[in-house]
Amino acid sequence: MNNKRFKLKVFALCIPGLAGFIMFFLWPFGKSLWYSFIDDVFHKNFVWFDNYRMVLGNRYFRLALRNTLIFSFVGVGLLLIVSLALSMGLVRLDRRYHFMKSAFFLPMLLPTVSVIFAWRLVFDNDVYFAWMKDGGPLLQTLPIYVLYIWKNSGVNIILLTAALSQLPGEIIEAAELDGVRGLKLFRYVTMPLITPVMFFVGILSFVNSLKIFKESYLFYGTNYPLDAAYNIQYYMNNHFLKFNYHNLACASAIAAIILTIIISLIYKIQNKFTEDVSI
Amino acid sequence: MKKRLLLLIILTILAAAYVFPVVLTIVNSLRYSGSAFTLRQYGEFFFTNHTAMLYFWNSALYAGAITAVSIIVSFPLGFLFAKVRFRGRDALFFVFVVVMLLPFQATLLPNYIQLRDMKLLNTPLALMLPMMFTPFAVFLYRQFIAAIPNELLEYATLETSSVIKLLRHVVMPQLKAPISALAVLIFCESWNMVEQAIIFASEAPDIMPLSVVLTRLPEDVVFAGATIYMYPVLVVFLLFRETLQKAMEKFRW
Repeated sequence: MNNKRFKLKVFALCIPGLAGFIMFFLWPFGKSLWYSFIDDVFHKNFVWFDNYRMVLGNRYFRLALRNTLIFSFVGVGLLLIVSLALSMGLVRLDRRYHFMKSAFFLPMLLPTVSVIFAWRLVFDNDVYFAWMKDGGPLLQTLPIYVLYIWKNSGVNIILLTAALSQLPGEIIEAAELDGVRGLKLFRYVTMPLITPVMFFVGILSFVNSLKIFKESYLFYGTNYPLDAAYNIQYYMNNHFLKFNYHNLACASAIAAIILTIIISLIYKIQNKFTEDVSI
Repeated sequence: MKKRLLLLIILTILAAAYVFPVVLTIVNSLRYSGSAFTLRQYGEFFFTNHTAMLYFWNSALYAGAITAVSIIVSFPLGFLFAKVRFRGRDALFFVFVVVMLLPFQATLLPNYIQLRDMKLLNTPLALMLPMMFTPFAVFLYRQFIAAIPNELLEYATLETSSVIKLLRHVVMPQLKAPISALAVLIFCESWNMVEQAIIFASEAPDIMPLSVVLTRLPEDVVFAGATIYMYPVLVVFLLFRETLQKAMEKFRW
């Protein structure tokens, strides 16, 4: 299967897909990187890191970055707790109730624009308005957290319930015979066994927390939401609309670099996990 | 026993809460300025705003074309990454993963530059081409193809030297469920397109998908519009619920 002729034939079949990927992602990414190093498209002077310095020094970029980090940190934490709790409950249910699992992953498929009007109705009440006026940033952006958790717990639940129902029964039984129960059973037996899956679910949740812009944009219905909701995606979107391509090119490059670093780290850590624990 | 019942009740309530926005949307679509149960909103949607359905068909065209092309085009790439050994394979795949994980705003400018240079802005192709080559499809294909035992493929290569035959008659039949799951995911993703249309077709209002137009409809028909727009997704969900669940359980790096 791995002779040269065979490989060449597979490569030939890959050309359309590869060409599309290069044409619409890789090659323009290079162009955009070039944009981030020049002053403007007319003079094309190479200005090194001037654009980057400008973006990183910008007050709104920092606000956006801070909000994004807070959202990802708090949001992922909450989402993991919710998904784990729901999954632990769902695996305990009788087999004939397993169809209930699908209710939790329906939101993932629904078009955002179809449900956003209903969500606006839900938050159209005095309690939320009071929070928006006087509450902290977390309460102010509560709808975005709710939408994020609502939309993304489905995938996590599918992955976690699959892992939980495949746990070796003997180990749990042995632990129970030794009198390990409840929280202790969870902390010392279940948790270590599902750590690799939990890890993957965590990454997925993090990536999804960066993709929550559509929900926020449609919910607030504006390019300039309240300060607490202004995240890096708004920053990029608005600079695009203002034709500030250089700022946006820098922000894109920064985002890509940060993600590349994170993903390489994850690969390293995960290789370690899979060596240590095999499920 | 009592504990189990309590758990069942709590989970049922939570499941209902997850479905609640859908129910709220449908219930609201059956009201019109005060009257409780009427199809007036749908009437307004189909007849008074009679162009709305044109946008629905735009959406259908985009989502259908994107799904079909990406399912076909990404298949050999998934096989390449899963089963063919060559230098730089892992590095190249790493690039696919990074691009897949980037939020849309980070690929927005690169996509825009390319579409502008190709003079495709404000045409339907601008909304479809980038999504047709989504690395997500390659990623999932690789995963599912990697699970096919090598021996089976080796054995098949003794029988035929045609790669197309191998992919068509040996690999493809193993992937029926995963491919339908993948198709559902890509369909729903492209059915949900909003930012692409606003940005790549800002000057061509006629080619917008309904997802964009919906927010601009008069307030008293949006719930009918929203219900109509999620109808295909609900149907797909009911048909492929279990397939999707099974395929996604194996979702890993």
